[in-house]
Amino acid sequence: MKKKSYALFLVLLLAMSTFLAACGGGGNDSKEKAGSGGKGSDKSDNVLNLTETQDIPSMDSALATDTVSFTTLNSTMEGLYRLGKNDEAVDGMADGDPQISEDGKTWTFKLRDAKWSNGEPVTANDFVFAWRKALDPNTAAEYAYIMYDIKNAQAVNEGKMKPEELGVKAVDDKTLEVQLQNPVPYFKELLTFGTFLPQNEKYVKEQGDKYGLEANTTLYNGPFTLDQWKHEDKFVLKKNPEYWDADTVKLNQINTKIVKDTQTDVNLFESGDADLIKLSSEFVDKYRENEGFFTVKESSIFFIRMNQTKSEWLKNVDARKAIAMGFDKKGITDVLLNNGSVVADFFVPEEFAKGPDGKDFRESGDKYLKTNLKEAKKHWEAAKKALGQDTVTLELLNYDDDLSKKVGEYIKEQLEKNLDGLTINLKQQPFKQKLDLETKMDYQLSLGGWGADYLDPMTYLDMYVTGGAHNQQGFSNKEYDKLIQEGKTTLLLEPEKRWEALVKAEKILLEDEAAIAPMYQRSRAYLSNPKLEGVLFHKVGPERSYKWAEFK
Amino acid sequence: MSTEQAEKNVELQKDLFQPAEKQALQSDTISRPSLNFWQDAWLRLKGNKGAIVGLILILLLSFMAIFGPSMNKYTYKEQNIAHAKLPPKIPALANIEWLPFDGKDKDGFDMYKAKNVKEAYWFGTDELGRDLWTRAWYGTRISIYIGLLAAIIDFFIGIAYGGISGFYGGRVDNIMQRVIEILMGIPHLIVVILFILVFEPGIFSITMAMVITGWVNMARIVRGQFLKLKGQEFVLASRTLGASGNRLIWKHLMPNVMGPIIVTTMFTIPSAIFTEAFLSFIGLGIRPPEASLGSLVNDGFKSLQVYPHMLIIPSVIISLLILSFNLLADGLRDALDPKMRK
Amino acid sequence: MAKFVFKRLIYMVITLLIIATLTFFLMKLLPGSPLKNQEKLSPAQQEIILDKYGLNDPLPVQYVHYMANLFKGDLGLSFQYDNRPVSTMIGERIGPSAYLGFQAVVFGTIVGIILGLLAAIRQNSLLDYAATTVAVLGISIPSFVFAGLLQYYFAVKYPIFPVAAWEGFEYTVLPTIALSVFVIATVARYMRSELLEVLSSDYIMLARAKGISSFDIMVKHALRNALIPIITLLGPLAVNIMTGSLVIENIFGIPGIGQQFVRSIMTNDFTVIMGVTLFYSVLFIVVVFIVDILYGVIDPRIRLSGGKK
Repeated sequence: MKKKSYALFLVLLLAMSTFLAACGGGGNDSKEKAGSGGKGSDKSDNVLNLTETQDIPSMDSALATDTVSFTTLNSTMEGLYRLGKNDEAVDGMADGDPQISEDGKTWTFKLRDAKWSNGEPVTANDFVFAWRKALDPNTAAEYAYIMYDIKNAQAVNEGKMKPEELGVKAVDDKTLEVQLQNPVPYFKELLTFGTFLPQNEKYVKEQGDKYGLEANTTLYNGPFTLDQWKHEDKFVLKKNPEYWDADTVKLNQINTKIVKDTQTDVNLFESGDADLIKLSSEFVDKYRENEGFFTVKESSIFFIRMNQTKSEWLKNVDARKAIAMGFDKKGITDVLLNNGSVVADFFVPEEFAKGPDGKDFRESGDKYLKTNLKEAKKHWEAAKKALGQDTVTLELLNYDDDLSKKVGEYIKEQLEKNLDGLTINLKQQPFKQKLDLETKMDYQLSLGGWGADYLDPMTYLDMYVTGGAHNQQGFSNKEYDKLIQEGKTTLLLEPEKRWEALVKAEKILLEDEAAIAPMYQRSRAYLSNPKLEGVLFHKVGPERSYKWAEFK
Repeated sequence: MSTEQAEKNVELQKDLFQPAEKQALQSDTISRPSLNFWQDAWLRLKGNKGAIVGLILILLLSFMAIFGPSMNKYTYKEQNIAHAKLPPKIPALANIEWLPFDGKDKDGFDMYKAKNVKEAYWFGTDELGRDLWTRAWYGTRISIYIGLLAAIIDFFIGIAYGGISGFYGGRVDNIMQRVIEILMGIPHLIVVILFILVFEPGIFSITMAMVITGWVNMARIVRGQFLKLKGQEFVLASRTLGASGNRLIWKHLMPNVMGPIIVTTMFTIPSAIFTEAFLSFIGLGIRPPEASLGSLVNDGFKSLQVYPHMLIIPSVIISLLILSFNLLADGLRDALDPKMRK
Repeated sequence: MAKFVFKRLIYMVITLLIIATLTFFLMKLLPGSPLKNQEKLSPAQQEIILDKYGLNDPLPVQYVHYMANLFKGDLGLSFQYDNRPVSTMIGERIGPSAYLGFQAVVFGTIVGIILGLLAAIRQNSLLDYAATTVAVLGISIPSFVFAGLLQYYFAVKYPIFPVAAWEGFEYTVLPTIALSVFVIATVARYMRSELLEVLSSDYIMLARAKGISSFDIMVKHALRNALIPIITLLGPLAVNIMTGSLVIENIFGIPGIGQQFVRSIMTNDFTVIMGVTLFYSVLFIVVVFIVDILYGVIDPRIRLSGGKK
């Protein structure tokens, strides 16, 4: 008995010494190891190991809403088109470009010969079925609105029309015809979105409630198939030999482990158990020099909402301008985020949408509301005079995750320091509760973010039309409304003019009105096995594509 | 094994003899002044090295919590982003190689020189360039405050509830026990989130959220003690002599229950501090820019491998704090237990 | 005895009903909807979906509906994990948590008893202080810090154990140690004080006076009696630990239920909140019940019909 307890005592001492060792400021040798970029077995088997912070919520393309689902669906299924390099739409199930009618409202697609993983052919009817299903109110699909550009889609979704009246039909097995409500120029890219994926009607009906819940109750037509799915633990993708373009696919297997802790991610990379991980900003300094380190710009814009219905001050345009220009955005991107994120003096992000002239939207648009303390103070004084008050306390609603908390603290300190008489109270709430307060417009200032649904500036700009569902801050400007309305209807066939209108709208939103205070466009820092190549990162829908990835 | 047994036999005989002699002597002469319960407890507490160490640590940490934040020119919320993420530097100790206060980061790189910083931050700075010395001691203050507040409220509710339940027993006890079972069955997190949503997030609502479920433990212990004691001879005797319920509770039961209650209270403090840390971990902790040890540890945790000082300093303080309360509580338990009287 | 058991069973059912009711209404007080894509949906679109799930019905109607399904054994479908039955989710996730928890409780109890024993035998000796300090140190370090350090040192720096995953025994070692620290401390502490109390009681004195060897006294008399309160302690402790620790599961990538539960609350996944709460409550109530029964069996001084301890 004594011996045993002695051994256990030792174990505990060991545990204790761990703690003490850490106090010694330890960890010098970790750096050399970091240089090797994981233990990197030779990887000639082309097996990719990944981590993901959450399990796949849904493999039913109609119900999917999150990046994990969309990324996995993007690997295992294929719509008419898929996102390729630079987020361009490349051929998927569709064989070549669509035929578009004169008025831009009728699109006809030819399908290639492709098979589902059970051997059945992919037909036009699979698309018709899946799209009707997504819009059927009984499905309760949360991304149904993404299809509202299709004729009658909204009416179907609201239950005012039958799903059969949706403007999509299978001319024959290999021909699909789609009627659009408006001739939107970005429809081809939009088709890459997960909600537009096909589903095999017979199979889905056979599986009933179980469709999309398990690896073996789902059908695949993409580069990979979901081979194993241990919920909340890991999921395994295997190369799909039936895929029409199987020769292009180099990876044999993709293992994804669910890991919720960023530190664990890094530890897995260090031990060679993960090939590609997201780095939280704390780790950027440690790995910046690593050859596997890189950053990827995303389409997410973060900004401060200023609610004009809950505060006299925020109704005042000078006060809004003062807040928007009154804090150093560079401090957020360079010190707090530290991951390649860029200062946003705009609302439509950089490297996101190209105009008819082939130039980035940001080249056509200007920079607005740049940090300028002198200007900010001037506007602030003007606001004080106009309101006849010297001090004000505003509440800043915030998310409760660690990074947002830091940003909130920083903004508070900056604004209080730069704008005399301003006090900011931080109110952080769990995500759902924060959304609820915003929907009810029960807040004054709020840190918010917006990511794109499709590759067009409209996905951002139509937020702020008067009474818009996501306006949520009582902003209203007639000219702005008009420009946006035109951009969605009359100007659709005149891309140049439409582009100009959108540029102008953004200018009104920011420079004239300072409706929101843009902070930054998010990037993410990654650490990858240097041998890994060809993983594509996307700005909308799926986060990444593995179709073209391989170990060199 | 047999030698071991023999050893123990020898000891046992010693044990048997010594007290017998002492008692014999003392009963004759009464050389010691008679001590009341608390004096006696204090004597025994003094004899317990662990408890004394704990007590001294608590006093020291409390002193730092009160005066630490005003020992330098920084405030707990003042940011200087140009000075972010600096390692600790104490000029007087900077030349001692093995101490981590030389302003060099974990790779031995002098960050103060690199960033051209003249000031010395004793415990370094955090990601927003706030002085960690001030924040650490300020956080200690908040944590102790939360711990004490939670313990005191638990103390009163727990005694009242547990006392009534235990003293009256029977049907009353039965109903009150079921209520406790229900309270323990409802997930605390829902209650905590609701509290934080309904009331302004802050120290008080966090404390209340912990108390609303935390007092149950105290009530159970008090009840258990009451049940155990009220059947004992001295209570029966008093009851037979016609003592009122009030008298029974305050004169006979309470003093005997005080030991376990105080000990439980002492254990409540560290567990409240930890609960707050856990709430920080899931993002429901104290409202920034306020700090608690829990929120500091949580902030630093992510930087464990990169800026270890951000984690280690608050971790060491929180560990010392918890350790000292636990040591003292352990000592108190031994000291207050009448059966341990030598 | 049979009457007692029957009475308790009825109480248990009533308790459960009340817990379910209270949790249901408290949960509905949480603002916001369980929709996943709430951020992007307009209020009109949200209405369509909420209608479909019956979430726009008056609360009492929803309550009756839920309870009716509950009696049929249907816990409903998750919102966050589209249409996955809650019972399946709990079933899948309780395994790892329970396994790990069990291992941690067993390991922790053994170590705790030994530490407590050593401390009690040599009260106020160096051994006592050492054992107490080890026990106390274990709970003085925040669990996520402790777990993070364990992982960093024993999996990354010195790769003795794997970093994180759920593939086999070697993957459970570090999380078990991290989880058991709390058990060790609690058990060791109780063990020590109970033993001290027992050792100073009259019947031990008598046994000593009779000349029974101290080893026999320890094993046959003291230890057995000191273990009784540990059993009451272990029941709820085991439930707490086996229902999963968010922190440990996060850090070691364990597909357990702790994380699931916290997430369900944060995302208003109503059916999952209810399901896990009920599961937890049943477990807790049953364990307390078993402990009460066991207590009566082990300790003849306690009569079940009267008060427990």
